[in-house]
Amino acid sequence: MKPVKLLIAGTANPHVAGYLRSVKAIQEDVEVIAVSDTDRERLLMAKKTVGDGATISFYDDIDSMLEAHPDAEAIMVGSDNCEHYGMCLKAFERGLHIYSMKVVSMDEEECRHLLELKSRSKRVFQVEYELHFSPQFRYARELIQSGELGDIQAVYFSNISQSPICYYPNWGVPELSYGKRVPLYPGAHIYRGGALTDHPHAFDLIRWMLGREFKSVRAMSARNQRDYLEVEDHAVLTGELEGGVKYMINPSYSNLEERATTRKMLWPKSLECNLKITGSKGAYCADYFDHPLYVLAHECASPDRLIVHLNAPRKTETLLGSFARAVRGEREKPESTLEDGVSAVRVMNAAYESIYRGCEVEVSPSL
Amino acid sequence: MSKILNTNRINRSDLSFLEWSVYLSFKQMLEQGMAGRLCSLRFTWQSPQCIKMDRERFVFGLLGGMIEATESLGNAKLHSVHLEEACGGDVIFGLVQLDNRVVAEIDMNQALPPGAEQLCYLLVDCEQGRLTNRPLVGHQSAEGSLLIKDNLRQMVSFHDLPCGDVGSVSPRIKAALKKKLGGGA
Repeated sequence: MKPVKLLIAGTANPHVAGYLRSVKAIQEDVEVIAVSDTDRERLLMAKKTVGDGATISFYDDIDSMLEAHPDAEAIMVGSDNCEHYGMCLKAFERGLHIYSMKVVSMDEEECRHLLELKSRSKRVFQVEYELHFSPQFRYARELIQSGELGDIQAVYFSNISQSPICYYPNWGVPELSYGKRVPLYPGAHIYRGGALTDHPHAFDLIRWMLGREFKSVRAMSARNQRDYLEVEDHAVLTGELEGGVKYMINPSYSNLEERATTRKMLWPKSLECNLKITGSKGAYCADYFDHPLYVLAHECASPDRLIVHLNAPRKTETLLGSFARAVRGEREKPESTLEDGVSAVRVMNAAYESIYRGCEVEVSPSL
Repeated sequence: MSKILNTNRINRSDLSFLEWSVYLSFKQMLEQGMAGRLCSLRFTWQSPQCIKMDRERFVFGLLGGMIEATESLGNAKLHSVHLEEACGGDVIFGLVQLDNRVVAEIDMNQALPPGAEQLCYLLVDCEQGRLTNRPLVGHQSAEGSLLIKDNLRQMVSFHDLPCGDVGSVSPRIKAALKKKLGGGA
């Protein structure tokens, strides 16, 4: 398969660095030809991350990059959340396929417009939901869909991390992460755009595994563990999916971190991603960070302290592989679509509404 | 069909939640200011259905005890509770909020197959740390994923173990082993 010529617009999203580090490893699927960022420091960091030897051009704005590369076929939207919509509009205008970091946009009007544009274009639009490729969760989906667990009755999922805001300060600015400043509850000085906005995985994963939409949400947010944050660092939700399945989801920043400008992993786990499914014929539970590697090393990212590294399993398919095959017509659609991305946003906004109003909120069937 | 009953852990105590040693230890640590101000709590209770509690003990004893423990640890009165029930009431998901915005999640499940372990965990998240009796990794299943059915308790690993692939070992190493141990590959 011919690699897809890819532009990267914005590097504010922490996941973009991972792609830049592995431009050679991903070259069977995509050829990264240019990167843009309006932030000088981030652009310099992107150049440093790519290193010498890669023929990638760098630009300080998306328009110059688009103009200089008429041969581009696709674009990775990796800016702050608030800029995703504008960048996607430019991409649609240029006829590019889109690979968007999550969330697409927390503004549901913008989401609706993107869905309209997508339905009129013949372009591929993938939202980056990497947990679809976890073998633990793929197996869970198989168990559910094959009927091995019987009728699914309840599901619990935790997606808990450290707060990334010390080393990615933009993540803690409500206007950048949520798109605007909305108090978490009446009179609050904490605003939407924190842990809940940062963890759309959970909502997508449950839809994907169970094939059911969310019907109702009751959410609560505790007082922040970090008194310096303007956005929420805790949220927990429960409610009902289609077919009467009950769920509980915790997408919080409950794992504390050091206040350092670069990421430090802390013992025993910086991240928690646990799934528990109860069916009429059985139960299944999975820890995404199982079988860890224990590392105590001087040159480690967190020097001289015991940390846990994820022992990455073999992947049979990758996010970019799915995207590239969809672009080349070898897949009908990518693994995680714009529709999936928007569905998660609707649940997250219902959760924010529930926290604000202090009551259960129904999730509308569609936008 | 043969039934597997996990016998690794048999709970022989008859304590109320507020007498549970883990709860009492954490209460004392909070009172000593060991981890700073309390922010949120996570309660986990799970049990095989074959040894489940009756409804009165499950709801009014255990769930009630967790809510009371939240008030006591949070040092504030109950503001709101939201409960979702599944499996005929044997699964309860609960959210509890106190007047001072301490929030607790409650995950109770006594609808599990016989191979499930009976366990109770409490996580106490504070401004300056965490107190918990939950194992550090793989809290549900040691390490790996766990599939439990009436007659099955299976650890599922997605991480390949190395196998004895003779072809991948260099002739030099094979020759050295042959010299030392005999035989041949």
